[in-house]
Amino acid sequence: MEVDKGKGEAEETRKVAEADRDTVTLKSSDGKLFEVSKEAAARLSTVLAGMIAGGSIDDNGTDLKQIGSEALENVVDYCNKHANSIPSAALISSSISFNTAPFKEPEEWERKFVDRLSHDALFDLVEAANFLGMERLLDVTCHKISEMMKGKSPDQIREVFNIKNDYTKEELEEIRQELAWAFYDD
Amino acid sequence: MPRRRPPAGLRSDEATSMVVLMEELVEEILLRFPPAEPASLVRAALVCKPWCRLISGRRFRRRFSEVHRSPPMLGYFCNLYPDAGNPNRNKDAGPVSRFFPASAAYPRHPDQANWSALDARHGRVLLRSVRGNPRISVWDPFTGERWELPPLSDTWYEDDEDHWNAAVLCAATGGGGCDHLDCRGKPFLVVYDLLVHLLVGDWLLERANLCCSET
Repeated sequence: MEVDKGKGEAEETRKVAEADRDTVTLKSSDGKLFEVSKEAAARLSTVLAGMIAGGSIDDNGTDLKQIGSEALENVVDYCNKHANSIPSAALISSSISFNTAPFKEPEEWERKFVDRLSHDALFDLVEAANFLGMERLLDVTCHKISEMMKGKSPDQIREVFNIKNDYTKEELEEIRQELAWAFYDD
Repeated sequence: MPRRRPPAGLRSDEATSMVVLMEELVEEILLRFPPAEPASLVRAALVCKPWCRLISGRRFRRRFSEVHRSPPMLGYFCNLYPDAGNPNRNKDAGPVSRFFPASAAYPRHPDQANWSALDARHGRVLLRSVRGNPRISVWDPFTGERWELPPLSDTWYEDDEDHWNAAVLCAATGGGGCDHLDCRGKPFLVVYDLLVHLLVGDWLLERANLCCSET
């Protein structure tokens, strides 16, 4: 009885200690551990916010089996950088004019953050952002990928996205003739 | 947690290292294309058939309009005599309603010979014929669809044709009205306006008659 009580207390103490920590530990699909600011994780990811609020964060590393270590490292890096950044006047004003602005433009540091990534890393990151419900990171990564597609021909886009062309030559020619204006600068 | 969907687009068998994006992510990326560059979306639609279905689907078009709010001006119509300065021009040649692009987008038939544009709204152009009894036609320059309206009554143009005008409006009323972000395929309304001149003593009075034709 005494032992059980001791165990219960120890468990309680561990939970309190965990709740007091200002970071959470996340574990990638390949078993690597990453520390991230609890405040930033809860603010930037709806999924992590739900896990923190629901007490399903594991002190020894919360399993994120769908996310590889490279993508998780980028997610954590983004959260930590975001925690330290002060929103610029441009971001604040664009949030005010949300109804007229298509999407919030990425901040300068966010641009630099995604510019250094390889195609594969960027595509992994956009999926991780989607999985974790990170709206802002999803916005930044999707914006970057749409910029990568700018001015590219269908062939070049297929190459970047690794997509097989399922049109016949005749089908393509017919559409190109019908919408010739879209191909002037090919 | 977000649900995983099958990838949009078919993956080539040779390379397996690259990530294939889920359809919902492809949609998020394509939504961020600038509306003033419609050619980018046409090119993306030619990448593969699933992307084409995605881009031309009602859901995507609706979201694209909602996100970007103000539709871009693709161009304008000008009623002109293309050969006006040429002394050898064919005197019988009628005016042309011509599309001048303000973006890369260009309709397949930019010239409407012997028609003049009366109005353009929500992607539709209202044309009237310039020869014989006026005929009225509503035209979507980008899909090429055209709707001929019933001929006008003789009383509308027998005196002076300049005293009537018409406009084409969106008539969609379902679901609490239309926000005019995606009116294509919805009903439209043509409103005619006839000014009747009445001479009473030394006073010239004008009276406007409105009449509508819904299609």
